Amino acid sequence: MSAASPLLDAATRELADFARGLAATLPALVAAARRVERAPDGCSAKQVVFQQDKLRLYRYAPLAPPAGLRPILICYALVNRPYMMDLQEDRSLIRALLSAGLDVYLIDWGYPDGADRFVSLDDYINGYLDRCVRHVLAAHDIDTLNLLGVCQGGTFSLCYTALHPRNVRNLITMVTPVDFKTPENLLSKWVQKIDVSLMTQAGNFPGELLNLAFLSLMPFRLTRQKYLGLTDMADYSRELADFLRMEKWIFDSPDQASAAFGEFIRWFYQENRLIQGRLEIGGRTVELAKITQPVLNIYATRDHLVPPSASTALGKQIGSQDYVAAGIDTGHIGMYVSATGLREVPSKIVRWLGSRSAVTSRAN
Amino acid sequence: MSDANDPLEAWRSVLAQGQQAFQNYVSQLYPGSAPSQFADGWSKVGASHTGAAPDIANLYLASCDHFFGMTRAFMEQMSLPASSPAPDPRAQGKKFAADFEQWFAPGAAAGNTAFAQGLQWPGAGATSEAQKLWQSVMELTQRLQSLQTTLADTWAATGREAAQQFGAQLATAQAAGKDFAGLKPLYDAWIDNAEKAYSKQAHQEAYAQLLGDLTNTVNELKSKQRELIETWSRQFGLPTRSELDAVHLRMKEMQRELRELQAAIAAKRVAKARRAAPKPVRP
Repeated sequence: MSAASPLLDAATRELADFARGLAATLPALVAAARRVERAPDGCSAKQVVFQQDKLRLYRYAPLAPPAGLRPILICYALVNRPYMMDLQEDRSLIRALLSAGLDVYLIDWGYPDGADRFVSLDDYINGYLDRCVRHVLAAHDIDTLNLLGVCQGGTFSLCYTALHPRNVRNLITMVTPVDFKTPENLLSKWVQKIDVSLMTQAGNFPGELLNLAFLSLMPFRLTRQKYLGLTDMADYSRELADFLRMEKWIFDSPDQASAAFGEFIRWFYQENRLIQGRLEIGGRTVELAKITQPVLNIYATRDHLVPPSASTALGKQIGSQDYVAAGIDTGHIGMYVSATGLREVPSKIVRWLGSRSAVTSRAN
Repeated sequence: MSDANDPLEAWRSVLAQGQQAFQNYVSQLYPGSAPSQFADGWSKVGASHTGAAPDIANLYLASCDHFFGMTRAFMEQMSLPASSPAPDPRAQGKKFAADFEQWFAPGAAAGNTAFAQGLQWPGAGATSEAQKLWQSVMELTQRLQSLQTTLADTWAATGREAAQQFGAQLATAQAAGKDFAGLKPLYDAWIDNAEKAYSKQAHQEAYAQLLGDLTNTVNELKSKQRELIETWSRQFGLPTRSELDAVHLRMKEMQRELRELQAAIAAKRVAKARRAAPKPVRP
């Protein structure tokens, strides 16, 4: 027997365990996948309070007595679906905000199709987003609201606040890119050579290809390694369901309206206009210095999609004297679903809003 | 043939059983096919409709299949007697390089599937316009294939380098008598190694240029294919994308004008109400 035998024996046992685990996992996996596929997206009660074209504005049913704060409008990104914010009862930023007595609204941009090919950033920011803001303001008979922008939705929220500062009381940005050309930003490097005119001529950008680009940032981890972990989940139906809900969300990628996507790639990623003060939307220059309201900037320290440096650049750009940057030790998606994210993010938002509202009340 | 003295026999048996179970299950899911390769899982992702979950079982099986394949290479390395001569790192590296290349190659195949579907359209019609378009499509297709080959070559070169490094690490560890905590940690180490090598390449300017060229060619090809299809659509009096685009643009402009008119009317109403309101009387 060779000297390597004990090691080989151990490895053989491990492989046998793995094969057994595989056999046990498959039926459980398929059954759980079918259940998750049929389940509705999001877990909290909500109703549509405004809609236009494919956009829906939801208002969530309260879960606690009102905290006395202004309503908070969540502006999600175009590139994935917003139910990530309310994925399941124990992984829901929205539920945590509702439990703290906040009145929560969420924008669902819908799935653009060929009819939306010419929808531009102006339409999204000065059109749809502005109409949602105005709806909430009118519904509550107030002059300002709290705006929470997520990822690309955070960039939109920054643009909106700079263009319509009178409508926003407090601004919160989460995993939001501001400087699109920091050295760690691999996605940015990849898109620099893309001919945006050719891209927009080709029509809406397929969500599947966008997803492919995201997966290609870490292909080995994201397409191979992570699935092996399923073998250990066979006996834990809850963990399996959690994993599958995430998978469903990750691959639920809407196509991108050609005009808006082209503008976003060219103006933000290729030309980095936002931090240079050269960005024009709807014929008006977006000046981040005009953002003077309190800003809470939450970023993930291990974010591979929006590197921390891309987010933290905000501090030097805005005119606000009340700026707080909060790094959370997690990744881009972990911000909404990881134990760390769920423990730290909602409480941070609620505390921050509470203290800003108190200050505002005294000032008034 | 079974050989009791063969240290690899035990794991070969287990591996065979595992792979058989794996294939049986795949056959049930996809009768008549053996989608045990990464390519199939990848193409499933690409082919999934918006809103639908990916075929999770397929992704899982592809990952397991890969794990089985990699364990074979690891265990071959581990089963070498300690007294045998130190293995050549380059030779060891080849095994993992092949895996790296195989890993990526289907990615290009998926790209072919996703990007080049339009090549299956019927040939040119009788008009010269269609013939010119068809020529453009063929030229772009050739360019695309050439770029895909370059991309695959780039991945392969990086894979070989990464694999040689990893092979050398394994050989060094074995020569030093260091134990591995198990197959899974070894597999994870390979993933880390591969990811690091890929990241180094992916950040290069040349790589971005290659991806840009590929994307631009795909987009140009897609537009030309559409033009070609529209020549056929016009012949049959069918609406084209260009016509629909024109309608959508016109509707968008009308919506803008409507909003402006509504805003103007609202402003006039406010102004009228202000005028009608009694003026404050000075005391």
